[in-house]
Amino acid sequence: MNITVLAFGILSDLLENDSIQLTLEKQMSVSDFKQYLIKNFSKLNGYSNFSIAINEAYASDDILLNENDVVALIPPVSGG
Amino acid sequence: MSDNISIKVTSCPLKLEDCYAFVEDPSCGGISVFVGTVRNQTKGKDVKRLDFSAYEPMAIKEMKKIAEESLAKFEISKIAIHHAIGKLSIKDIPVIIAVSSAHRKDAFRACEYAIDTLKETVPIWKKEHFESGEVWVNSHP
Repeated sequence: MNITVLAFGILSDLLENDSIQLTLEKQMSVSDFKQYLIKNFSKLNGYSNFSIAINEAYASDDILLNENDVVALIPPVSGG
Repeated sequence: MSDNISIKVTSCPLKLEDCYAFVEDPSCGGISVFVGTVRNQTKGKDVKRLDFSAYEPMAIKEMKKIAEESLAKFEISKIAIHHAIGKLSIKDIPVIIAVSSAHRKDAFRACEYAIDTLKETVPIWKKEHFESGEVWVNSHP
């Protein structure tokens, strides 16, 4: 399953990238995907303080990722 | 976009007069405006500048959602929410919220609701630049 991952704020600094193409072996929920990232991307250094948005909308932990989703990693926002 | 909502995310300087002109309305008895400005200090450290970045399409959607919720929750006529991105210096304006209403209380409340919610939900991030380095605000628990 192919997805695009977008990273923002501190996460784009940690990953040294703001867009990554990923192929997942199986369909995952948002919470599974977060665990997957923390496990497979050592650059995150265990950083887990982020939310997930799928296709430009916040996604709760139980939502499933689908083929071609754009999955954004949203660290705590600080606008205003 | 509906004609009582103005949303903008821009790398150009924000203009107070644009927000004010948008919300002006003959039926209104008042306009409440919140202007965010870049402060020169954080926890006693001198800030040199801020750098704002956004997930722009989602930021616009979340700002529109806040505007729609404000119109539903309060007796207001029009609302403008504008946010700047890019490099900002001390005293520059990262955000303006303007609200018009028949009676002042709803304009005050909607303005406060909109800025409080923006700070919680809209995917915009600021990096503070100090003499000694830089830090993403809120990113460390």
